[in-house]
Amino acid sequence: MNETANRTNLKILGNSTSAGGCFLDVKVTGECTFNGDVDCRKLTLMGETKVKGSLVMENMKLTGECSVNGGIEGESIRGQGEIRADSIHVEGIKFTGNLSISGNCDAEDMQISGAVQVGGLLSAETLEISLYGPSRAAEVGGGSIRIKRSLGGALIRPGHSGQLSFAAGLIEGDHVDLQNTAADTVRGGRVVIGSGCEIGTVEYRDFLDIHSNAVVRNQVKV
Amino acid sequence: MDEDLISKKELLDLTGISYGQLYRWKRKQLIPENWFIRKSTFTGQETFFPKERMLGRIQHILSKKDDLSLDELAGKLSDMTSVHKQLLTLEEVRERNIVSPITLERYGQRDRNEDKYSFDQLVHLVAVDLLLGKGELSLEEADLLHRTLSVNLPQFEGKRWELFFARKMGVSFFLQALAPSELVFDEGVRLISRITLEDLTEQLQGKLG
Repeated sequence: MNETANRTNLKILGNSTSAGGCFLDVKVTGECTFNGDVDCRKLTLMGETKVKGSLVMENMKLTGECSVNGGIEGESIRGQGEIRADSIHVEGIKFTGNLSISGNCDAEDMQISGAVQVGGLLSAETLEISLYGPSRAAEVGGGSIRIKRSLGGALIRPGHSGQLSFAAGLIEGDHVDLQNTAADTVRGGRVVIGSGCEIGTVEYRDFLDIHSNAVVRNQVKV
Repeated sequence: MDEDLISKKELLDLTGISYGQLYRWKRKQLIPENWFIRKSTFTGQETFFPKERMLGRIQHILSKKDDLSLDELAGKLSDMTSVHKQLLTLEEVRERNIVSPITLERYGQRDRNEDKYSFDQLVHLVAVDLLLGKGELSLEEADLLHRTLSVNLPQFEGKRWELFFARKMGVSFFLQALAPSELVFDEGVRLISRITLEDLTEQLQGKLG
């Protein structure tokens, strides 16, 4: 947060555009396009929001769609809907919906129900993904990583359960617990490979459990 | 002369840290992004690190992490301004063993202003000391190096630079370039040493502690 700026609240109802800038609390209900960087304390979005710059905030609550050309930085992101951005760097994410990030996405605590597409590294101290759709990340790294297929997801789209999968090149964590995941390499301390996984190589330190319904081509204890 | 690299797996074995810690430190920017070097090996893509710098940094983090929060630590590591303004007296430089007595004796005297050393001057001393210590430099060459660095200081002030030390047919020379730079030499040239300002700063910071 830029401390020197003279900040005011911004409230937008309906359809509007803004140049962006530094604000206290920003509330958008409806559609809004910010033509520059946005820096604010509390950001409440309902509807569709575009930021043609980067976004810095403390707390963001979203219902609807939000697309940011640059990166998102702040304390927390909560809500449901869809977020598109170049990168995310926050403390906590609790989100239901679709997250598509072209670069890196990192948070200390990340809970996602839905789908994620991350072009770079997806990194969190605790990462929990409940899969509702096809997801992927180039790399995943962190302390505790849990990727589960959502039971509800299979129910609301019967016949498409094959799409509830997560694809990654590399997954590394202290505790790794996976379901329906295809990865080239998984490395970790305690590794649980659940049903529907297809893993090239698993390297583990302490513990490895492989579900009978999973394929692991190589397993190495280090 | 490439820097020694260490793979991520070896690093974890050697230092006893976990994947979680490594990624946490990366997120907190305690470990710079460009230290993560991706290389393909026969097992697929692997991540490597510059060995010396990485081990040093991890020791530093492990020794400080109980007293400071990770954010404070990250602030300390990236906040060079406090160090840059620091001035040390001859006695302090000697006491903290920042450079060897020989280097200090030979080069320490000439660029003292009001009996104190600025950060840049210390960096120069460390550079000379490092190469002399490795036995790659004769004393005459060290003179030349120290003079080169001092003369060019205004030009490189506040910028990142790299120093190349090469020899051809027994003739040695120094190149100081803005970093990052890729230099290509003809076949007869042997690149003896390559140091970046960051290496020197890091080393100096460690000693200033």
